[in-house]
Amino acid sequence: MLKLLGALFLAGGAAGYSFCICRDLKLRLVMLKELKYMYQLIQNEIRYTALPMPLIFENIWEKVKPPFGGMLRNIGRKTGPAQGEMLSEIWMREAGVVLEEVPLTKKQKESVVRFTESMGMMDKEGQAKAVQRRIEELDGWIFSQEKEGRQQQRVIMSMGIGAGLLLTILLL
Amino acid sequence: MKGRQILNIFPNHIREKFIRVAEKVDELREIRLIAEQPVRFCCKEGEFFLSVRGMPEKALSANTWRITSGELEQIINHICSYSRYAYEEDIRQGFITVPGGHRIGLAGQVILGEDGGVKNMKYIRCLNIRISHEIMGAANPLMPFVHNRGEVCNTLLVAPPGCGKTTMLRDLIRQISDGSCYAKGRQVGVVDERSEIAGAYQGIPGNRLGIRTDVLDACPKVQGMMLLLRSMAPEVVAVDEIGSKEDLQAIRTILQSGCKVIATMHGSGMEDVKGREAGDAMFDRFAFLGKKEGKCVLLKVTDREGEELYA
Repeated sequence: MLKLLGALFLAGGAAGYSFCICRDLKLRLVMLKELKYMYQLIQNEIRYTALPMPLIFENIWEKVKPPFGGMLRNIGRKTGPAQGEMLSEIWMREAGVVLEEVPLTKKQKESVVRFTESMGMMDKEGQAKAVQRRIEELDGWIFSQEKEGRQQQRVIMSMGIGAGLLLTILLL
Repeated sequence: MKGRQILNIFPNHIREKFIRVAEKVDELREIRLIAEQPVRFCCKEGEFFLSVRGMPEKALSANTWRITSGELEQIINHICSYSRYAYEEDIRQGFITVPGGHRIGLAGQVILGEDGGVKNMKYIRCLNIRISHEIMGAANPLMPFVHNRGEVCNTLLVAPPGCGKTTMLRDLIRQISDGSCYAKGRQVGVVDERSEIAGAYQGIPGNRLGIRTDVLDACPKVQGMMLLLRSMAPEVVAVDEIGSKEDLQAIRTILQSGCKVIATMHGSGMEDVKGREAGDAMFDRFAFLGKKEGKCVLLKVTDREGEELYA
């Protein structure tokens, strides 16, 4: 009876682990789409309102879902004229905190953290184009995630369940 | 408050060096920053240099702080809230106004547009931070001459740069708007092309301009005067630093509509006013400002006929 229970737990655990990986993959896609939406909002604000970055962040944070909405709100509040800290420092710190909890790849996280490096130096059109490049980069990731994501998830789930069963057989 | 406004111009690591300068804010006139040159500031007592530790020094020494191009870039980025695109128009005009109405003049390499006009500026290597001083009562000596039997007279303030024209205009606007012992309060419209009079930052005036004052911020004078006339029904229109033919033409239109005009102009005497397209025929009062013993004072007030009312 105990052996059977152990076998069930082992198989269930392996399946659960692969399910978690699949869930992270799905969440990654959601996060990439939300980041794209955030960049599009920033780009629109630059093009049509030409407001400074801190005000843009304060204007759009409510439209962006967590955790990025909260990140924008915090950055907007910390980059007012009264604060002397540089925008890139605040962005890096706040993005770093938020990205710890987000299932993006290392490369994707690095791209988000370095977003402000290309901000602030150009004229309106140049600035909007710099954001456009980020959007295109995200488009590429979203496309490959959508294309390969389902296949990957199926493989991970099958391998997880298979590995669980194999371990059960071996241990029995 | 004003000291804080000055410190807020600088990013944190540079801000520390200006603490002693900000303490002298009431006497401070301007801070001059030129890449690779000593940091200077001017106040009532004269010119001072800043040491690397942020201490004011009367003469150059080995400790004098020479600001680097990188530090200047950081200051400009901070002033622009890391969004230069949002300040394109200001940079094109050569200055940025910060909270409190302090004006930061910029000089660098100008980029010309296809029409030959200034398109933008790069390699900004010189900054002149001009401190805006709101002095309540600055216009008191002029007030009796600006009014005639309870009516506001068309008045032109004439002075060389740095002699307190804008400061006096600002207080004049406030007193005319709020009302004084000379006349009841009037509806005043201000065209603040350089955001210096109201010191507006993001639409909110930093200086007191009176309870009946409408401010059209960052708007070219000519369009602004017409816009105010059409939309806000002012009794008095105030503008800073007139001089071009178009400005005078717009003032003529304002006067024809029955409004009064208070304006300032660069110059030092009546001959400077007369040299400008019959500008002398439009105003009832001419107030000449200047410096005496380092202080900005009202030197002379004349009427249209040139008769001295105050000297």
